[in-house]
Amino acid sequence: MMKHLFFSLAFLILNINFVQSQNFFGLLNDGKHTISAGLNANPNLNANADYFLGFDNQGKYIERYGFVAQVNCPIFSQKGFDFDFRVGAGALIAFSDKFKSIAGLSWNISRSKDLNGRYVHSGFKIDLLPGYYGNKWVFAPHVSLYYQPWVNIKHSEYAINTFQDLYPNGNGQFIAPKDGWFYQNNITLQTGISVAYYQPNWHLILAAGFQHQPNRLGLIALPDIGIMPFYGGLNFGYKIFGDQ
Amino acid sequence: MKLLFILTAFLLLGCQKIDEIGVLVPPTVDQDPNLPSVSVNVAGRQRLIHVRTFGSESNPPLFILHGSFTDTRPYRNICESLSDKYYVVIWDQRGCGLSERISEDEFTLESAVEEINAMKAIYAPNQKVTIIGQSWGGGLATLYTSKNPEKVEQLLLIEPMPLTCDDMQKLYKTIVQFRYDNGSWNNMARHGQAISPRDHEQIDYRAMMILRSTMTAGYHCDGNNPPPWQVHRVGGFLEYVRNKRLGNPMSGFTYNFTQGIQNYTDTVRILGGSCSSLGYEMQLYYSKPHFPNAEVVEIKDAGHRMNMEKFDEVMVAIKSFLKEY
Repeated sequence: MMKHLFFSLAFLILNINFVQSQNFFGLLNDGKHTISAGLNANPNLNANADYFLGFDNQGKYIERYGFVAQVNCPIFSQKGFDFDFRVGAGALIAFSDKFKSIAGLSWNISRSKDLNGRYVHSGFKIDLLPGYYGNKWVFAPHVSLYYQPWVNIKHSEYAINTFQDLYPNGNGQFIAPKDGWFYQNNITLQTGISVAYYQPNWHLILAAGFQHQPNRLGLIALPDIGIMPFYGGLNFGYKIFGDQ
Repeated sequence: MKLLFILTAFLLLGCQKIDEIGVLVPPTVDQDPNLPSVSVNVAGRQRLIHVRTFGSESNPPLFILHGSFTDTRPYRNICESLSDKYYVVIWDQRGCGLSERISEDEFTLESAVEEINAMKAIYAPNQKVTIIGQSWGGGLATLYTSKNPEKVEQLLLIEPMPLTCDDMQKLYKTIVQFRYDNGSWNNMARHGQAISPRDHEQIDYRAMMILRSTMTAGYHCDGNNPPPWQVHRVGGFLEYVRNKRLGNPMSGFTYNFTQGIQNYTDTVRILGGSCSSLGYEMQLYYSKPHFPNAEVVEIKDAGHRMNMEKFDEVMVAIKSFLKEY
């Protein structure tokens, strides 16, 4: 009972995940089915729930592999039903006994809404965590590339009204921002460090790092409008069932 | 697989690029030649400025300097009201509104003053000019007067930002209320996941949200429902550069708009709303002492956007000060 309570609480409180990152750390555990839920920040705060389906391949170059599904929902900025749904595949690659890497590729479809409009956006993310993988501890740098080329925009009344009667002399062409599907070079790079402690049934991860969205202006941070170059988190995962 | 490839190619090639002109924010004067503009040489670069004038050229000149995260558009009502006695000149400062965007090295406090001189050379070359400045524009008007007291006929400030770095350091927390659980801020932070801040248009578009952000709730009587404030375009990148020039609360602010203001001995009128964190009380205790002669007028039941909330009262306070009325 106490064990169940402990893990239930830990489940809810400690599972602060990498944002825009799937919980590939289920690869460290023995179970076939690992679930997790918690909070993540990027830098805005989200709640997430993950499911990881893992398969063992002991003794091989790819020691373990699996598939992940994740739903992220913003906490303080929820407007309507905002979500970020991701599916992906990951593998634990063994270069030697202790030098290994988690590698993951995922696809997302996301819906978000803010004062300016409603956005549906989609793209791909690659995560790499090469480093020391001991029997209980992992120390690994985290590198990721997140590319979201497609976005559909439906502008809000606010965005449209802001530009109403823009030209009192009638000499300009702009009426309102455009709705529809657009292509963009939306790239997010993350680089940081991860420390994990794991047991066969559970794992705990601490991570911190820098993130940057490359731009033509050399802009690193503009906190006034939420551009911050940091990410980080604490993640807890637990094998629910499915011994292999 | 083939279908996926075709679908991907269609989506990549068939969609309009988000940073094309006119997708998110209006074209600037260099992108739409139908818009009224003048060309000025500031900081060694020739740039187009979106400008509008009100009233007869034979009237005394009056410049209005707009605030940060905005442009000239919300001041149109003041311009029209003063156009019977003044030749009102108002322009989107370089990098803001419909004026041409500028590079980082072109904006300094010195070049902001140079810009006013460039506009004066066009619209009031041989006359003193009356200046009204609001918020950042109030700070800039003070800086201009400090540097050029002989060129200023009258100076009226509408809730100027803190005029020195020391004042700003003391007041910052009352002006910008940053909390991690602030919904507006979280929205803006999350916006980058949908639309990358890759170029000017995307940053301008995101910065537009701050006009209704509850982060600046202290500016308004009803912080959750600030008065409407329509703009041409928020110059997001310009705000970024200006923040760099002014400093920040972590490493410290670095500016002083009042060095030399002792040489301007005419009375300066400052308007402050009763609701705003930059309102009457703040102006009385922080801004007024910097001037040899200044008076502070309170606009009751008004915040930082007082010309939208209490237009009649604001115009009474302005006109009762201006010499031509």
